[in-house]
Amino acid sequence: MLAPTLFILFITGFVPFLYVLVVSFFDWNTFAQNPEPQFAGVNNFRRLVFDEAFLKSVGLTLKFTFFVLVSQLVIGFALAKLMMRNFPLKGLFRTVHTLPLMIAPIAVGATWRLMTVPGLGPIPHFMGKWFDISYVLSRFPDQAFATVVIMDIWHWTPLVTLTLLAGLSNVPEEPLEQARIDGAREWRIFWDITLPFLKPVLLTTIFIRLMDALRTVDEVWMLTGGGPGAATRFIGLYIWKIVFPKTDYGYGSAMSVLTLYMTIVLCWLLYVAMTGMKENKK
Amino acid sequence: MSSVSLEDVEKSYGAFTVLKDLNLEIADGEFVVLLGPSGCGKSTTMRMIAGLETISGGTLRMGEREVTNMHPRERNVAMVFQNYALYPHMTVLDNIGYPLKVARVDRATRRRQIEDAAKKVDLLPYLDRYPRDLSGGQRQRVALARALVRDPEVFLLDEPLSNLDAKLRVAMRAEIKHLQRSLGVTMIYVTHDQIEAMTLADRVVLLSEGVIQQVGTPDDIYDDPDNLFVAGFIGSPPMNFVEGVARDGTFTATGVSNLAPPKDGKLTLGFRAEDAVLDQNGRFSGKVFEVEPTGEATYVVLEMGASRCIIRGDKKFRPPLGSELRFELQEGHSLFFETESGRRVRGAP
Repeated sequence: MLAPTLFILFITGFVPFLYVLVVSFFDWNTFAQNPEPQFAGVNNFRRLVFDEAFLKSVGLTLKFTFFVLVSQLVIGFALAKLMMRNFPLKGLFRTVHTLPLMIAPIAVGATWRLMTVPGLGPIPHFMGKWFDISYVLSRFPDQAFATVVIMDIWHWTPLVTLTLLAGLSNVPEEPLEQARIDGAREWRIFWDITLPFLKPVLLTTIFIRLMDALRTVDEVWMLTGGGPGAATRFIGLYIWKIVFPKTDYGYGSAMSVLTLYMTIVLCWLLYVAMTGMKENKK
Repeated sequence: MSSVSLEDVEKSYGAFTVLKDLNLEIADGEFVVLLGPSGCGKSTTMRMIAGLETISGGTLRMGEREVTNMHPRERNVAMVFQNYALYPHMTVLDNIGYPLKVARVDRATRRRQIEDAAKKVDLLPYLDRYPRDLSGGQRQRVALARALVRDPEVFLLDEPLSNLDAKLRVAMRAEIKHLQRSLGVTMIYVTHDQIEAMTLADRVVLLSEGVIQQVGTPDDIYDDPDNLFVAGFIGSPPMNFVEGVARDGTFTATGVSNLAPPKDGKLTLGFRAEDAVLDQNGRFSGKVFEVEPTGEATYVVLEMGASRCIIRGDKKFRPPLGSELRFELQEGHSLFFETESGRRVRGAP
């Protein structure tokens, strides 16, 4: 019964990975003097380590990931907490709040692009009118970076809300009441009781968002194209640039492999940190 | 430890009142059981005492303190939940010690107090385990130890034995009672099991539909019930009821003759299975419908007109089905109730 699934997974997942892994050890650029792939050993990887543009991309991506992850967890949790209560028009709020999840990233990027175009979009208009801020994405790197972060928060917080909401509604009532009787204050109850119950859901959510954030491409590509300069050129965008316009397949593959490796290491570190907390306490 | 008093306590959800005019005085060191069928308001009453439910009206006092609107953490009560409500991610040690940790008791004192509490319920060897590694009875004891560890004003136990198997329940019953006696603590215990109520309580509070039906010692409510509900709820088998009419000083019902009622009108006669004595010249008679031996005695189900009654006979007693049995009631053990209101009619029959 499992065989067809495994077969498809193998074809669509493992084979391309192996292909990329193999290519990463070759010099292969269709525009080079010799367009045929040539075995290059670990040269591509050696080149990566000294590629300042790439290292900058990595740093930017990590910064971006940190900001969106923390914001999404905090806002997502607050919204999930809010939705555990009853209030008027809750159903409508939940639906509207989930809508961004259903929009394709490329469309999200396009929408935000339209909203931020100077002379046309509402954001530059009101930023100028209300705060007297000259808002031009293509000119100010910080504005571009902040806008990209906010766009990602807007797009993906609902996912965090939904998973945390599911987690929260699975926290049994009795231990919380018991803790209340045992004399704990609400903050204490949150740290000591609710959070441990939420840990599996929290861990899964963080993994999903971490991996997604590390490979963000399309929204940003649509909104800023990685600019101005390299202000929002995340790893994904850099790989795209190397592989498509520059057709440097070997080098791009090496980047992809390194990114995958980095993602796995980050997830692993996070996992150890979060599950190890309990061990240390003992 | 302290006394607990409820004065005109009320609970309503919107327009729907679940408890009203609840008046109850619980003395210091007393073991009081709140008993009643599900939905009678006994758990709500306990949760109001704990502070988990708000009190809609009336006053709640613990000792001299008025605690009506106090937060649970200020009331200093301990509670044991039906499903124990252990913290699954903490060891037994941490579970028991949690109230102390929250109260910022220092590590060494905490450890000593935890061990004291664990010793009282035989949990010392299990301190490093997690709740998932314990049996139902052990989890129950962890919950008890967590209540014991903090020297509260009142112990609240919400159906603490109902998740245990029958044998363990009997054992834990004795343990809880012994614990309460030896520590001299005030304990309020909620159950729907009348045997638990009878065996444990100093006083039983019998609730139905949000109203206290009777408060009394187990003997009181067994021998001297105030109304039909109490009479029918307490006892196994339940009390027998025969409806009839009393006129001119005689009570008339199928299978009953020559019985003097305390007053005229529509009355219901109530008697317990063990108060019936077989007697050829008895004033009561019925047709044997079924015979139920239990080993220590034989219960005979009799048809008396429209009602069925159960009487208790000798362990070897096996009357033929369909035969006529005559019996008599022991002196003072025929009780009369008003059929319509259910109220007890006292006075010599």
